[in-house]
Amino acid sequence: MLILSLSTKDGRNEHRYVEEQLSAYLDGELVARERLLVEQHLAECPACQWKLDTLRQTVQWAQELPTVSIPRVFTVPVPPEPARAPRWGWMTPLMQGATALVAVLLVFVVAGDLLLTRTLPGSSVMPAAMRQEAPADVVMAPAAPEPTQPAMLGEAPATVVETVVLELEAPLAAEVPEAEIEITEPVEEALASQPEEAEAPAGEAAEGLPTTDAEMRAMTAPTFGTPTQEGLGGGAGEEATQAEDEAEAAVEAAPPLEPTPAPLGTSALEPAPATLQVEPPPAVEPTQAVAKSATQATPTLIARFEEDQPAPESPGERDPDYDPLAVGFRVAEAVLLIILITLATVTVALMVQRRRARR
Amino acid sequence: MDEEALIASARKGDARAFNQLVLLYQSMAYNVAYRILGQPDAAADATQDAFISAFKAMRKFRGGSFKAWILRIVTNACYDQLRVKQRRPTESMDDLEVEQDHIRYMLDPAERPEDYVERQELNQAIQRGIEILPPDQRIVLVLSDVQGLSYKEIADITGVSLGTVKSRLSRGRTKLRDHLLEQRELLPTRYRLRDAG
Repeated sequence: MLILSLSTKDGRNEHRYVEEQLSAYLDGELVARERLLVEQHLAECPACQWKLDTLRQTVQWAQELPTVSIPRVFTVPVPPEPARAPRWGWMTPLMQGATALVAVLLVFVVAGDLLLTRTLPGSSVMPAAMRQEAPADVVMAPAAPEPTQPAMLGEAPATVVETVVLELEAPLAAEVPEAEIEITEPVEEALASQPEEAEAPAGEAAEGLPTTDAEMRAMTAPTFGTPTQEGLGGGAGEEATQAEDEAEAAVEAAPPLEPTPAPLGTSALEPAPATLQVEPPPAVEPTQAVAKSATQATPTLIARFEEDQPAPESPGERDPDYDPLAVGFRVAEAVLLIILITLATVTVALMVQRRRARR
Repeated sequence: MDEEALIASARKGDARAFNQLVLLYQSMAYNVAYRILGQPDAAADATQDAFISAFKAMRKFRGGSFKAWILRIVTNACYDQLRVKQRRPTESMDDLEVEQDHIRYMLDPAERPEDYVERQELNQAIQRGIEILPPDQRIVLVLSDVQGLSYKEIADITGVSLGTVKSRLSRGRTKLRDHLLEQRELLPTRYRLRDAG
């Protein structure tokens, strides 16, 4: 209605109105009636026609503006995945607690191992074992006049006795618990009074002393050869004779030791307790080490220690020495240690990962 | 992955999915900003700001045309750049525009060098004519004639009525034509608008 009135009543208003509609007319955005009015006016008005043509040309040129290439990519920064760190983050304190727990457990097990297996076992056996070896070693001690040997005897036996005590452990604990105190003390006593005491026990050993003499045995025990004699004593008659032969060989090497074979032989034939027969292999090694160091001083010792080796290896003699308590402790310690290392590794890895995630 | 899936992922904060959308629309967004602002650096800043704002506002996107939604943010960013430009007027960047167009035109082996030069003169004249328009008319003209959007799309982007779009576009085109008429003698013969005669 407005358009019609404009077109009929006021030509100037119509011209202005059409002018304003030319842009939309170009785009086809006019309704039918508006378009009809514009087209009627364009047919009568060259000025508006010119305006339409120039406007069309302008729009065309604008549409032909080239597409400019982008100077760079406008992607937004991708944040590091936040889900991963929290996903495992809850495990870190858990692993820390588990590591601490296992560490404490390991400390307790090691402490228990030290307290139980080092003090309780083998006290009754140790003196008996010493008893066997003492005579031979005691004989040997004076046989070596070199100044170095007493020193070696003073030091080495201590370690030997300790090791033997450790290895024999539990099975023997039931036998004579009181004797264990006597074991450690004689070690030092024996070092001081070695030459005098050594001869006396040697004679007693030959007669086959009862276990009540364990203290004396322990005192003499620190001398070398403990494993050897135990092995020989625990063996059958053949072993005893073999020991005699070997002892003779040693005597040949060192003439002053001639009387030695006699007590050796008797001690080997002695009715030794079953525990005596069991010689823990580890105890042999330190003894050997000592023997090697003393090799240059006394060749007889070398011969004796060479004898020592086969003795512990004889089958069937180890079982009595097998200590389930000690083995249990060792296994527990090993398992706990492995678990502790694993937990500590995982914990450290988690903590490192967490720290990186925070960055 | 289609655009709908990318939009759904981006709404959940997936920047990688959003960047896929950026790759789809960054050329269009930059060209709109460039024609509105006339300066490559300002256009790049506006485009980058627009995409960062869009990523932050993805949760507010309620469907519809993602293209229109992005262009609305781009035009708002252009408004911001224009306000900055008003506070700190800078030198003309016409030479940079020539460089940009040059890259494009050299890829067209069909055009002779003299045609390229003449075309460049016309394009610069048009760009200058756009830049003298008021921002409202400039944005509508760019969206319509450079990007080829419909009145309805422009109304959605600018948030004004269809009638307002129509009138702003009409006035903008008329002013641009008048500008080209003023520059008529400076333009190559074939790009001169004929006289009212």
